This record gives sequence, structure tokens and C-alpha cells, in this order.
Amino acid sequence: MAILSLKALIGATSDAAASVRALMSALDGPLGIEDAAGKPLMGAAPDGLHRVPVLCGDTALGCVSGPAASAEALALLLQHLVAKEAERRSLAGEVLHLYREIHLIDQLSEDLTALLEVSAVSKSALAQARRLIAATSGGVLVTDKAGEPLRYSAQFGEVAALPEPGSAYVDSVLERGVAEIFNVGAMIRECSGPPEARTGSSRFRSLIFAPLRAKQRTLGLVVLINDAGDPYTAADLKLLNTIALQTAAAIENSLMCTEMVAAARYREQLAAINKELDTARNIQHSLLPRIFPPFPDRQDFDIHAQMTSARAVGGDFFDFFLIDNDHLGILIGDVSGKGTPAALYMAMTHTHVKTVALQGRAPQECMAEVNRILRSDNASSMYATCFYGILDTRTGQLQYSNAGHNPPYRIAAGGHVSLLDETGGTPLGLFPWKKYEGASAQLDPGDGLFLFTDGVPEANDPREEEFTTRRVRDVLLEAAQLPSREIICKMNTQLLAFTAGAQQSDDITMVCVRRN
Amino acid sequence: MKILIVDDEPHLRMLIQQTLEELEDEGVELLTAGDGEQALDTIRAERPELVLLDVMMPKKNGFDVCHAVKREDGLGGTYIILLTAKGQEFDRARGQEVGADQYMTKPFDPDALLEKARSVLGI
Repeated sequence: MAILSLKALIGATSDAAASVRALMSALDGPLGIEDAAGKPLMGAAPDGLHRVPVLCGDTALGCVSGPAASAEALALLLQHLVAKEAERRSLAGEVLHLYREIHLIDQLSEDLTALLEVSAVSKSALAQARRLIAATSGGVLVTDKAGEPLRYSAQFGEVAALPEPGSAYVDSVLERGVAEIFNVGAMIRECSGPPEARTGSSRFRSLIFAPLRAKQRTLGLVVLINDAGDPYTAADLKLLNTIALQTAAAIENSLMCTEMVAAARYREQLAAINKELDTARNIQHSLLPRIFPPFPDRQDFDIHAQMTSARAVGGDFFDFFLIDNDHLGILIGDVSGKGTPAALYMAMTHTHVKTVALQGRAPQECMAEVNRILRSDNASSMYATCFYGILDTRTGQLQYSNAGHNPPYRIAAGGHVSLLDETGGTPLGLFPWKKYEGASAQLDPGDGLFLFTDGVPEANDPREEEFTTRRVRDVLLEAAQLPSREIICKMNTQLLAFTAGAQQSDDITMVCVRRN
Repeated sequence: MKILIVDDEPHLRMLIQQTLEELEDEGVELLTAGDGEQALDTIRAERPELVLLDVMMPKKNGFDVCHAVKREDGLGGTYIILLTAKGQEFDRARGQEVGADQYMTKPFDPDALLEKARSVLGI
């Protein structure tokens, strides 16, 4: 605080000057007032007269000289003015201190609204706290999510002095949710530097904690430590609490904002994945026959197929093609796994099988060859089940080989429905040395063949019950006399009724051939 | 050297005075005025180097005082900082027009104000 001066107190522009002058003229003179350095300020008195000092505490601000009684009276007035002025200044000092706090808190709230990151908010809060409260070190401890461990989002000064997250101080403040001061009476020993330099001198440590209370929970706390001076006061506590309240609101906003950004990013990623799945689905469908009937000029057989892709994109595939005028190749398969990798592996398997099949090779040779190719360049652990058959359209003989796929149903014209004999093959792409066996069956005019993937019997209803092969067989028994398209139609209707809108995890694929 | 503090609110005069109090130790005299007319009289009589001038005041507002001072012979060099309440629309163009050297918003930053006063007075 600036030293009070008599000159300022009774100077020309001061309010007190007139009263002092009036008193001087009313008293017996001559009277003179001079400052501490002996410089005349008002009136004048000859040397040798009575001198009365004007004090502010123990400091002499000047003196009054003149006849004893008058000088005493004037000095009394000046003394009174000095005391009043000292009191005013002390009060003004207090008010200014409060005003400075208001300004800094106002500044802090303005700064905080512009900040979006927890660390930036914490740094700003600490910086303002240090301007208002003396501290040798300090930090902001926060959790990003309820239940997650606390971490320092900002700190300054001697970091080692800051309490660990989980220490007794921290837990106590968080648990009680109120600001607290701890004065460590047991002194902190100086222990920096080499052992021989440790003097054993000690410091007094005062810690002040304020919780970061948001609407829903306590986000953490602000801590300030003072090793250098007086212990913290209730005023410091109140001030840090005010700063902590503002900081907590800003940190909560910041966390909410981070969550929103993460949610938006997640939505974007999801959209990208969906786009990728669409691409995979397109790859899958572009490779499969899409035009029905596929051989409109052939009256000796009819063929139909349908594939319903699961949302996650499975790896089903099917195909049929004329190897020559009398031999129809029929193919169905399912790749392990889902998504784009399954779609690509399926495309590869499908292409290999078809390429080898169109060379006119027997089904079991086809399977063995494709297995060898897939195994030789299969770095992944993927595999495919596959059924491949060749129907002699003149004789009705079906030669086939099955690599781990669901055996198809033979639908006899008379209404009998039976599974084709197994050939015992393992899925393609698993074991390079594996041999594949062939088998044959007879399809007389009116007989049909129903091929399907596991998506059909495993189609589930909302209670996770499966459709089962028993129901597949029942539908085929009912539809035994119908053309291929209608058999598939009927199966599809039954599947839709059964699944009742439940989301399916696998593709559902059916192929039906019937000799006329 | 002299600084004149002009504000119609006594508590603000006191606050600014208190903020600048330490300059008294360096021989700076702090003067105060409670309205525009009194401010103009004091500026003419005391010729302060720096005037902290509130804008919204009865009788004569800060713009008018500033305008008068900057146009008067011998007073044009007076450094004038206009003080305006935060949230109150401050007419920058009008401030420039009347020749104000700077403006500050209230609540003011005491440390910044003291620093500014020191730099204007060169101490």
C-alpha cells in the first residue's frame, strides 16, 4: 500500500483542505503544517514554537507548529483525517482485491466457454487460480468417465508434491464433495539433492482441495499446494471453490462434446462398413445367375434358384451351366465367415469350380482340383462347403460329389422325398491331400432335386428357434408335384411365416431342378 | 504527473484510485471528478497527462468531454482512455471520431490498467 502523505490529504484539490484552512483561521495563530521532510504545506509559524507530530501508526507524516493549544487542536484534526484516510484506503484495498477476483473469474468463465478440450480447460483454470491464490504447485485431477481412474489433466510447479490419485486426501475430498484445507503440521523435510547436502531443514505445507462438481457426479478436483508461505485461508477455499465450479461445468461440456464427436465418428464408420457390405453383396450377386428361366428354350428340365442375403453378408453361392448340350452342371456352396472376406473367398471358389467344371471333369475330380488350388493360395483359414453335380439331361443320371455341404433332397415324382447319399468329402480349402469321392443318383422324368445352404434349416424365428430340416422336408413333401419355381416359392413363403421378421444371420439359398 | 479519474459512480472512482495508488509513491497525483463538467474544469485547471473517462455520465458524457479536450489548444496531447461497461454497445466509430486514444471495458483488469497507466506516463 502506498504511504499516506499529508500533501495528498490537504492538497489544493482535496475535500479536507477547506476544513483545515477554516480551523486554522479560527484558532490562535500563527500556525504552520509541514510534511515529514520539513517542507511547508499550509500556513507558516516562526521557529521555536510548539511542534506536534502527525502520526500514521508509528510513522510521522509531518508536524504542526504554533501556540501549544492551537497546534494540539489542529494536529488532532489532522490525526483524525489521517486515520479516516487510512481506514478508507484499507477498505478500498479490500474492495479492489474482491474486484480483482471478480474480474479474473469473469475472465475465466469467458475463456472457458471458448475451450473444448479438458486439458485446455484445466490449464486455464489453474492459471487463473494461481493469479488469485499463492501456490508453489497445483493440478487438476479428472476422470473422463464415471468409474474410470483419475488422471492429472494439468499441473504446474513441483509435480512430485502433488497427491497421487487414490491417496487419502483425494479420496476424502471426492467422497465428501466439499472443498478442504489440509495443513501438514509434521513439516516436509527437504530431501532434494545428494544425501550429504540434505540439511534436514523443513518446510510447512498447506494444501487446498476443491471438488469439480458437475450436475451428475464429481468429475475430479483441483488442488493447490503452498510450501512457501502462510497456510491457506477460508477466503482462498471459497475462491478455489468458485473456480472449481466454473471449471467443472466447462469440463462436463468438454466431455459431452468429446462423446458427441466419438458418436458421430462411430456413425461415419458404421456408414462406411455398410457401404463396404453393400459392395460385398454386389460382388456376390453379380457372379450368380440372375435371369430366370435361365434356359428358356429347354423344355426337358426346369430350374430355379433364390438367394436372400443376410444383413451381414454371408458367403453363399450357386450356379448352373450347360457343359455341353446334354450335361447340366449344378453347383451350390457356402463359405465360412461373413462380410467382405467371405464374399471375396466365395467369388474365388465359385470361379475355380466353374472353370474346372466347364472342362468337363467329373465332380470328384473337380472338387479335388479346386481344393488343391484353394489350399495352395489360401493364407487365411477360410474354407467352403460345396456340392457339385452333373445331370445327364437325356438319361437322368446325376453324378455328384459333396465337399462337406448339406446333402440335397431328391424329390421323386411319386411324392417320396429323400436325401442324396453322402460322399464323405471335407470342405474345400482345408486339407490339400484330401481325396473326394463321387456318387450317382437317378432322376427320372418328374423327379426333382432340391439344393440348399444351411441358412434354410437354420433360419430362426424371433425366439431363436430354427426352421430345421424336418420342416424343409415337410414343405417338399407338400410341394412334390410343383414346378421348380413354385417349390422355391412355397419354401420361401413358409420361411417368411416362420421367421416372422426376425433378423437372419446367414444367407438363405435354394436351387431346384426338375426333369420334365 | 497527474491522472484524472472520471466516473459518476463513487465506488468505481475509488476502485480505480486504489488500483493506481502505488503510482503516488512515484510522485503521481491522482485526481477525481464525478461528472463531465467537473472533469472538463479539472482538466483545464490541472492539465493531467492521463484521463480515465467513463462514457455514460450525467450532464456531459465521455464522448463530449473527450471531443472538447482534444480540440482545445494545449490539451490535445492529453491521453484519454474511455471506460465502457461490458455488454454495453460501444460505438468504436464515435470513439475514434472524438479522438479517444483507447477504450477499456468494465469490469476492468486492475493489473492491465496499472500497466497501461505506467506506460502512458513513462514510469
